Amino acid sequence: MENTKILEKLESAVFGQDVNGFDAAMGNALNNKTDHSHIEQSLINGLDRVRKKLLSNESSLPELLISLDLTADGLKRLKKEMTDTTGETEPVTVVIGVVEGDPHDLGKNIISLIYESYGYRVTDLGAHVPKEEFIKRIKEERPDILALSAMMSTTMSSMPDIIEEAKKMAPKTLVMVGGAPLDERLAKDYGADGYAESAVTVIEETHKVLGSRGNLRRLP
Amino acid sequence: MEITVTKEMVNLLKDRIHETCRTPDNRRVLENMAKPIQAVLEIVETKVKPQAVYRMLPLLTSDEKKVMTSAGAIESRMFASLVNRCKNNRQIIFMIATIGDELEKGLCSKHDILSQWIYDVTGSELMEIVADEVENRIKEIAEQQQLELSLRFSPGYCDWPLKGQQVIFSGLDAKKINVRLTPHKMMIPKKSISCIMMSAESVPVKNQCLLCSKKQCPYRRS
Repeated sequence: MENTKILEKLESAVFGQDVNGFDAAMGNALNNKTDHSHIEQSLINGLDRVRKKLLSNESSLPELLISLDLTADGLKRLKKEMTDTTGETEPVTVVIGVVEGDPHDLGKNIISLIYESYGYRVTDLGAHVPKEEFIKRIKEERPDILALSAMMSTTMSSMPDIIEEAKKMAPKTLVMVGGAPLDERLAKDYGADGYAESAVTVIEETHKVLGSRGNLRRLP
Repeated sequence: MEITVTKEMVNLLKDRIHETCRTPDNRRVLENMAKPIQAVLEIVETKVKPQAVYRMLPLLTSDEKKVMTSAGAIESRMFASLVNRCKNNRQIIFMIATIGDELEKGLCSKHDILSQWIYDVTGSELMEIVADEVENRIKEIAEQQQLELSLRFSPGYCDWPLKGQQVIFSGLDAKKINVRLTPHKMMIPKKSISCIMMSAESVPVKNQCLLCSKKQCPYRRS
């Protein structure tokens, strides 16, 4: 089978949540020695189509999650095959975590996986992360993005402090926030550079915030 | 109080999970989801043992800012406003319910995000069903004493700070059902509910959201 067809099948499998079709297409793509960057792009194209469908309410969160799992699986298999990484562009780096006092980490896990699927290099600090831990990691890693999540109105109040410290420590690090009790206005009030309402919009919002940094993966 | 997960509860849970999982186009539940849903329901039926504790405490005093009980002060203007409208035999019901940590353990063992999400949704829905069951049992007892009840109200919601957990946990023996508070007043196991309800011969406003002017509040119960 020619490469174009294989890649189309791969993208369709991710888009259509076709687990069996995905296994076959992924196997074919790898066996056929298809260019890894093309495989990666097909996975992202499929995921992106589901995300956009969900944005217009024509899809559901479980559909996005299945596509996300398939994309993550594909990228993992791709990574195993990769030996030569020369010529690769430096990925955008993200430190992500749920603020202290808040144990809800599923939303953050989804965002984390979305970032990874789109080629960001993610350091996931988990849930219930103290301010000191965020600051320590920012100091060590100088990430492009600090992504903070809070699911409770009672814990989101610690965000402004973390953001202020982070900005002092690493002025070039951009801060994204998200979670049920937040909105765009609150995010701005807290000193964040961007706000993502959900897993569906996080990539576009991050892209917007990163602006013309030049090292960002092109969005399909 | 031990709560048995009945067939009816499992069926209701299944309906709610399916409702959450349906696709918007043809309202179907995706085939890929059938297996993980079945697996989580099996855990619910065989391993999950919900438990609850509750207690009625007499109301000592109340003003516009807070309500005093022997377990401590409930510092919520909204709840105080509801309480101050109630008449005769005024009591506060404290309640903690949990479904334990079986689903949490299951969630942690899953590496795919879909299964993690299904476990989480199932835990939240089951917790609500169990809390409704406990509330219904308390309601039956209250009705036998010609008492009315308000809706459940939990710390961290509306104007009641999360530190209000301390009052509930002072008024109840949560150890009995293996629920504890973290220093940040979060409950372990995560899928637990702590709340109070107002009980009196007359509870004219049962839902305090009706006393609140925040019409756009995402947590508004109307």
